[in-house]
Amino acid sequence: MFQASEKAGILLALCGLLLIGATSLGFSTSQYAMNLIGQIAAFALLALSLDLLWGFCGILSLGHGLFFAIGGYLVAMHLVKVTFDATGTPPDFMLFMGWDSLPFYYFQLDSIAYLIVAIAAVTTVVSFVFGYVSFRSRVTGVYFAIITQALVYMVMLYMFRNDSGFGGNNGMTGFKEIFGMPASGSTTAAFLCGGSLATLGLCLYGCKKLVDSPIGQFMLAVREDESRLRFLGVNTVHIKLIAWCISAILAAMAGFLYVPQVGIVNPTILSPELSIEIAAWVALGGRGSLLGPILGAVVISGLKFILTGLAPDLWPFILATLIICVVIWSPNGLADTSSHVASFYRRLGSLTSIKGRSQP
Amino acid sequence: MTFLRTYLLSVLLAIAGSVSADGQDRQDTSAIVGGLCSSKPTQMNQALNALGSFTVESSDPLVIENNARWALWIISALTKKQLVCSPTGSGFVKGEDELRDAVTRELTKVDENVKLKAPFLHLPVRPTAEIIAATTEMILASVTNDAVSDKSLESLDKKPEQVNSRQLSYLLKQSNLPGRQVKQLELVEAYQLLRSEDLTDYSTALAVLRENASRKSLTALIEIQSSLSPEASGSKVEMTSNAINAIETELQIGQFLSVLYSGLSYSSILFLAAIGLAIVFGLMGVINLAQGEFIMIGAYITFVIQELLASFAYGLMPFYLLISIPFVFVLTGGIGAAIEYSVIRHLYTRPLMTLLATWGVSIFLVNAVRVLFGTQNLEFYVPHYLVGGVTLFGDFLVTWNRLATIGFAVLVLLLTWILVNKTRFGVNVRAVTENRNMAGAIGIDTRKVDVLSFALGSGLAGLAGLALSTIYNVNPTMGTNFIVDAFMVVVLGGVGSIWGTLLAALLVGIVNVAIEPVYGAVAAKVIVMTLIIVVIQFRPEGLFSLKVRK
Repeated sequence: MFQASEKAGILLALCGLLLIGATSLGFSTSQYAMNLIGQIAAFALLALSLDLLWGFCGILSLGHGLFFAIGGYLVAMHLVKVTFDATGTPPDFMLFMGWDSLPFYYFQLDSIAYLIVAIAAVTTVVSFVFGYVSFRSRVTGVYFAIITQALVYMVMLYMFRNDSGFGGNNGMTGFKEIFGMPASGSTTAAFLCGGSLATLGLCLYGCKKLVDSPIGQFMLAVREDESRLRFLGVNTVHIKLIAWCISAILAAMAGFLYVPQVGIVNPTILSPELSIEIAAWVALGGRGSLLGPILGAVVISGLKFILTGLAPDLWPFILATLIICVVIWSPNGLADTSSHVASFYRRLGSLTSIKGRSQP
Repeated sequence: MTFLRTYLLSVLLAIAGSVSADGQDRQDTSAIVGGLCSSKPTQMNQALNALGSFTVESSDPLVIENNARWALWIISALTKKQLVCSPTGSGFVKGEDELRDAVTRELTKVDENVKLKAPFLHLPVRPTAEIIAATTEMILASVTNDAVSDKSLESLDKKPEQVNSRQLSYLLKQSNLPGRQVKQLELVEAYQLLRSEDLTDYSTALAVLRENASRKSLTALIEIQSSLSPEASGSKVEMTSNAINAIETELQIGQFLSVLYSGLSYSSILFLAAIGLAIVFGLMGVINLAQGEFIMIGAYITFVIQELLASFAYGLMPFYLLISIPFVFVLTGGIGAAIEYSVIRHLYTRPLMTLLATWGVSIFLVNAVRVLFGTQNLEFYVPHYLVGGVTLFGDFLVTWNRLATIGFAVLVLLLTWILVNKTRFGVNVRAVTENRNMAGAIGIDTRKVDVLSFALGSGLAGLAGLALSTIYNVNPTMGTNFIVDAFMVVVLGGVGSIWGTLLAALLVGIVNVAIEPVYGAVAAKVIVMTLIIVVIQFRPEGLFSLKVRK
């Protein structure tokens, strides 16, 4: 039968499709709730992508925000171009730089098919090149984490420049229509939310299939003992590259889903803080389980949504304490909680049985 | 006020004696006052110049002193709008409720029907007045054997071509000026001689300017070059272009040196921040993401000590940086040890988790400081011995605060080297780095080594915060600015190697400072990043990797 994560994947996909179906039949929903759920679903996909890499292949990237941003920025470029073509109002950065037309790399981006191809191509090329040079020279562990962090920091600095054609520090916003729908409105929000949920569900299902496949087994082997696998004659660079590129594409998909829902993209999604936060979701949820990181992303970003409104000064302290405590006491994150509870009961049980024996 | 009046009166009597003794003088001075009263910029400038020449006309020191005092009195009256003129062109100086004749300085009365008006001080007149006043002050000081103030010299430097040449040559003849000031005066003279038609004068001027190469002398020379007519003698043209080339070369070298210099000071801070990271990474395989926050805490402790000294021991204020050194080192080291003991020791087998845990620590520290101190930049008092610097070569200014930072880093480098290579603790650290189990087996307390090295690393980062407090902005999020570069240094330099860290810090620091102003921060990061990727292709463990058992 289906395993838990497969069930959850199918369930999520069904939920998403149901939502889309219901909305197209005229069922109305709260725009705020849809937006919130949709954004969290995008974050969950992002967490899933890092979990595939870190939890199953043992490679920690502190620069996954880069791929998230590739998806996000490309979709924002598409939306900017569509808006510009439809309304003729140039985006802020064009006015600011005094440009008459969009830079050449916006070419053809108004077509959704081209956009998807572009996202896939850019993500694959960037991740492949960076992954190849790093994995080939056997950069692992902490080294790799630091280098990816430097990479995302570097790109962030570039995106802060106003002459880059990507909106500079203000980012890109003011989208008028999203995939043929009006930019704001509960219907659009519901469609995007449904799409995000469905994508998340499908990706979860796909990831489960991937980790159960021979490639997934090799990934696990790399995580456990890369040197031994190499001695056995397996080219671990290929396995790591596959995991790395797939993970990057999943992250880009998350960005693709996220930006239309928040309606803005700016360089803060490239900040090293966000990238570390992704790792925190995975660690809190439990790496090495597919459902755990999704749970982690939902819990932390949900808490963040609530607490940044209620107690903005308190939130960083809560987050810090949560991370430190979970990392120290629960190495596998929240996914461990059940085993903690079980061992607690076991201990309780053995305690009572000892008591029972001492009183014959 | 009474004192001033008696003083003025006595001066007045002296002047009255000397001035009335010479009818020529009286004529000159009334012409000068008339010129000042004209209210026309060119005539006023001429009058001011005549006033300047007038002060050095006589060779009698007593007369010079009196004339200089009179000139200063007139100029200050002019700038304070106390000099008022009648329509006929005679000037008076308004006191509190008195009126003095501008020429004789005697109390007078004017018919009430005469309208007295202060001449308007036009914009081109103001610098002339300032410069003539400055040179006259210097002349007065040299006659009375007082020290010439640097401030008056500085005002000459702003517009050297407007200095009165007769006053200047008088000043240059004086033997009681210190050599530094004579040099500055010679430079001022050189600017004037540039206009001279005489070739020898011109070449002396060029030689002096070449000696004192600066952006300003270059501009002046280029201006002269463009004004030289094609018919001017060939040697003059050639001399000018030679001098321009020489100055340009010197300026370029100076600029190169100053980039190198600020690169060095940035490298010093990077080194201080990264050496702790490198030692701890080599020892425990742990990267401390909170290292940047230790820098920040070091700077904040320095700030607190500065404030405490300001309120309880003001006399010690100039030395607060020195006083802070032990406190910063011990306190940040203590915080580091506490974090090691409470968080990191649980995570030695899981280095990637340590990244997350230390990130949590860093969020905590940043926000704690934000709540306690607020988000604004701190203001540090810069002690007088760190203000300013000395110009060495062209525009290359060696500022004392950066020099102190570099010196401090060198000192810390030496001490760390001694600690690691010459002490028992250092032997233990190296033993645990190379083989933890074996070190433990021969009786080294590896836990103690861990805690102490972590404290050492944090303490050094704290010292980096102290060293940068007078150079860079200090606020709760400053750590992030340094941390990425510090990581680059560790990755590039290799694990646990002091020399590797030093070399990498120099490379990263200088590349950053050299590239940033020209091509922007991104290009600098890209170059460092490319450098790292190239280096790890050949040396995956960094430039200087220790052979260790894993």
